[in-house]
Formats: sequence, C-alpha cells, structure tokens
Amino acid sequence: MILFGGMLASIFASLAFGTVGPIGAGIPSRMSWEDFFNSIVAEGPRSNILMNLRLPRILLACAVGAALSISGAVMQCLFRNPLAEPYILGVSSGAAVGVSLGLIWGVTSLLSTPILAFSGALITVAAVYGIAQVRGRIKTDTLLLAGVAIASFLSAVSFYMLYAAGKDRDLIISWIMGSFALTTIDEVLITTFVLAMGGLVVFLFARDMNVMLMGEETAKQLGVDADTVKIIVLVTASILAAIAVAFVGIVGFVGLIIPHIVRMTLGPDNRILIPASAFAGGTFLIWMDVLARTVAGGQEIPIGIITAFCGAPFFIYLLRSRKTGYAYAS
Amino acid sequence: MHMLLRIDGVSCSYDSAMVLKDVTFDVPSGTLFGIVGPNGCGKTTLIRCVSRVLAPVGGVVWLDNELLSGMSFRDVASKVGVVPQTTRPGFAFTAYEIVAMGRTPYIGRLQMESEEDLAVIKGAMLSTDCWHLRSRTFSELSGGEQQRVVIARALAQEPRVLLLDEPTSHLDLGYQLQIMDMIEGLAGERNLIVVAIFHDLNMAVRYCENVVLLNEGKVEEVGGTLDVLTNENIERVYGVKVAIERSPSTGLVMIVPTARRAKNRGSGGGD
Repeated sequence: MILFGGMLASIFASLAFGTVGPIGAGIPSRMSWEDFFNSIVAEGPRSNILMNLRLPRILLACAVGAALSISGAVMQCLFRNPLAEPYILGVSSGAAVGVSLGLIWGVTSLLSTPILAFSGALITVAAVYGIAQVRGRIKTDTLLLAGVAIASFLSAVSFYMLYAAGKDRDLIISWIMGSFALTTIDEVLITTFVLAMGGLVVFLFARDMNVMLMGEETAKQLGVDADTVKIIVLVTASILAAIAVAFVGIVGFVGLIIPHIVRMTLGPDNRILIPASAFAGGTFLIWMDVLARTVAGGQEIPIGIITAFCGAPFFIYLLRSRKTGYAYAS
Repeated sequence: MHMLLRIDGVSCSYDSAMVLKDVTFDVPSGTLFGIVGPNGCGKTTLIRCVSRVLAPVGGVVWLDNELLSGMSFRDVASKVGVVPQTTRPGFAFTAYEIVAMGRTPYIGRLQMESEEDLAVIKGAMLSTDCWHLRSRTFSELSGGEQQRVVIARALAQEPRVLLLDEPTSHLDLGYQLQIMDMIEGLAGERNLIVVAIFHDLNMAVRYCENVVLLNEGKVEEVGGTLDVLTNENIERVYGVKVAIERSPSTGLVMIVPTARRAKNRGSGGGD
C-alpha cells in the first residue's frame, strides 16, 4: 500500500519537473507553484504541455516500469536465477525486431505495433528456451548465455534494419535506448490494459511460482502442475516485456534490479513481490524519465542510458555478492 | 486399520531405455519399508513413479482401492508426501514458508491459509521438532535441521504415504539416528505408509521391517529385511562379499563387507 501510494505521489510530483513547471530549467521563466496548479485544472498552452504531453509520458513510464519489473520478477523465479530478466534473455530485443519490421513496412498502428512486439518476444523466448533445454531440463548457464547472445544479435538486426531503411539517426538511437518522448494517451491506455491483464494472470499464479522455486519436480509433488504454469506465466511475462518495448524501445536493467531490491526488503514471496515490484518499478521509471528529460537542460537523453547507468553497477554488485548475498539456487 | 500401497507391474523408461521393468510389490502401513539396490537400479525412478512426477509406460499404482496413476498432481499431493534427497530453494525462504508450501494441495488460487492450515503447519513443525526454527532462513540451517523442515513440509500435506529418497545420506551419525527414529515414530503414530530409499544397508536392517531389493530395474526379491538381505543376494546384486553378524554386545545385526568380487559389475545408468 505504501508503495502504491508512493507511485501515485510520484506520478503527480514528477509532473512538476521540466522546462514548463515549478521545478526545472524554466524557459522562459520558472513557473510558480500557483501557476502550476492552475494549469493542471484550467485550459491553456501550459496546461496542454502538462496534461497532453507530460502526463501521458509519465503514465507510460510508470506502466512500462511496472511491466518490466513484473516480467523480471517472473523470469528470475521461473529460471531460479537472479540474472534472468527480459533484457538479458533477449526477449526485449526480440520484441524490438518485431516493431522495427513494422516501422520499415510502414505498419505502425496502435494495434499492429504491440502484436508485432508480442510475436517477436514469443519467438525469441521460445528460441532461447529451446537452446537451453537439454533432455527436458533447463540448463541455466546456457539459458543466460544464449539470451545474451541472441539479445545482442537481435539488437544488431533491428538496428541494421532501421539503418538500411534510411530512418533518421535520432529515431534509431531513441529506439535502441528507449524514449518516452511523444507519448500519446492511446499508447498509455493500451499499455495499461495489457499490464493489468498480464499482472492479474501472473498474480493468480503467485503461490504456484513460490512452490516452483523448490524445483519443478518438488513442485509437482506438492500438487502444482509445473509444466502448465510455466508456459502460462512465461508467455505472460514475455507479453509484458513486449508491451513495454512496443511504444518505447528497449529499456534495460529495470526488470533486473527492481525485483531484487523488492526481494531484499520484502522477501521472496511472489504474492507480495509481484505487486510490490510493479509499484516500485513504476515509481523508479517515472523518476528515471524525469532525469532523462531534465538532466541535459532542454534536451532529451534516451531513458536506456539512464537505466543502464544505474543498472549496470548494480548488476556487477549482484555478480560479486552471489556467494555472500542472500541465498540463491543455481 | 491397515492401508496398502500396491505397485502393480510398473514399467518406466527414459528416452526409450527401460529403467523399471514390471515392478510389483505391496507396502503395508505403520512400519518402514526400504528400497535397496545398487546405483542405477531404478530406486529414485520408482519414487518418481509413485509420486506421479513420471508416468509409467506400463502398470499402475494403487493406494487402498484408489488408482494413483491418472490422478491430478493436486490430488496425489494430498495423499503422497515426498522428501527429496536434497532441497535447495531458490531465494531466501524461511523454514515456516517452506513448510507452509505443504498446504498447496488444499488451498485455492485466491485463498489465504485458513486457521486449519495454520494449525496443521504448526503441528507438523512441532512433530519434527523444528517449530523453533520457523523464522530462520532455510538455507542457513544445518543439514539435519533442513531435513526436519522438509519432513514437516511433507507432513503438512497430511499424506497417507511418505516417500523418502535417502533421507540421511547427507547427515552426520547423530542426525542420521535422530531423523530415522523420528520417521519410525511418525509411521507408527500416524499409521503412515513409509517408503524410503537406502544406500546404507545397515540403516535398512536397523529400521525397516520389509525391503525390496532392486537390480537393473527388476525386483530381485521382496520380503522381511533379513530374508532379503542375505549373503547370496548381496553378493549377486552388489558384487560384494559380506559377513552378516549379530553383535554379541548390542544384539544388532550388522552387514560387514569383506571383499569385492573379482568379476566386474554391470554398469548401470544414472541413479
């Protein structure tokens, strides 16, 4: 509940940051708090910036952060590995290839883009899973390495496709590194809808996923149909990762670090971890986006740069603390 | 009332290699029943078959008059509890959370644990003497403590059958006896059908009333422990000459290996 409140507060507070707003560079002059509150309720050019330009991107950042965090929490749980998440496993890159195809073919409607992203993500997760499966068992090391290899391969593919199609460089960069600029309210609605559905499905299987952390054989002996649950939940997690990529591009590391931070503070029970990760992830990405649009004055920095800047050191910390940190099964 | 677990003509295969061939025997309740045999003879596979993790290619498993083969995982889990050789939970669950997972077959998708569930969890932990460990992280417990927690988890399933895969193989001498005494007590008190795999034949002799001796996936012999574990049978199956002696001071029967038979043993698959 506290996390949910924090997320709502962040949505509102982050609205105040930016060139138009009481906190930020202030062009031409800094807005007063009074003007700010007036602009939220009243019509006007400033209100247009706040409510039609900034609010959608804040909401989308929140939804994307939540989707990636749930996806990461699920993958870490299913593969019983702290490093599993949609970016590392190549699922995000797979979705990006799907969307890139749409950009090249000129098919970029509100429906086709997510569907292409889902297709790319699901094909990728099936491929990575297939590579890592040896006689019915998943080899986790192979899974991660195959994921990393496929992720960079597919990133290169989508980069090349856009480059060869003569797309302009800014678009390619914002796509590869993610950006919340030019978000429309329709994109927010679609993303939120998929997030809500996916989040619900995953939450319904939270207890089963707890038991599956004991290993799939033990899970079956405790009454969980592990094979079925795994397919349902993994597909859902991939769809969540794909919707996060569909309108924004690839945002790395959110799905990795948020579930870990939540797990360290609230414990590994998925019934708590999944909703808490969603709220924490939403909040985190709202503030990362605030940094992205304010740090360099009026210029946008791709969000992926900011999350990688925070995420990569944390990733290294995790690698180093595997022995001494909280217990993992490998 | 005596219950009965009936393994009826069970055959099992991995990747077309037959691991169990037409295995048939009955297990009565209230006492310990041992599965013994050399590596790769199909002991663990048999436990996986009875717990329905593996579907037999032939034969069925009966519990009293109910057919276990073909039931859902959930239904089997409310009748059969399994204690695996090792338990390594992903992430840091507490002992209590681990035992609470034993209630999985009884709790619906949107339900929380009921008062009754909580009482069963506590009862299970008290009967294996691990209630005081409930808020400790599982992975930080000692081997013997972990095994007591996992047995409590199996008891929380309120099973009629308890399957144990080498319950003492990772434990020191003190814990070995503690755990086996505990299991023996539980079998009597709760009238459980207890089936346990043993590598240590002396443990089987000490605790089991009956054993089945498996060899290359087939039943070599089944019956009273000392009737099955004879010099001839052990030499034929394990390729080891043994002396079976009753200690004059303790009255316990000991199986002491004396020499390895010259002829090479057939190599088996994975255990």
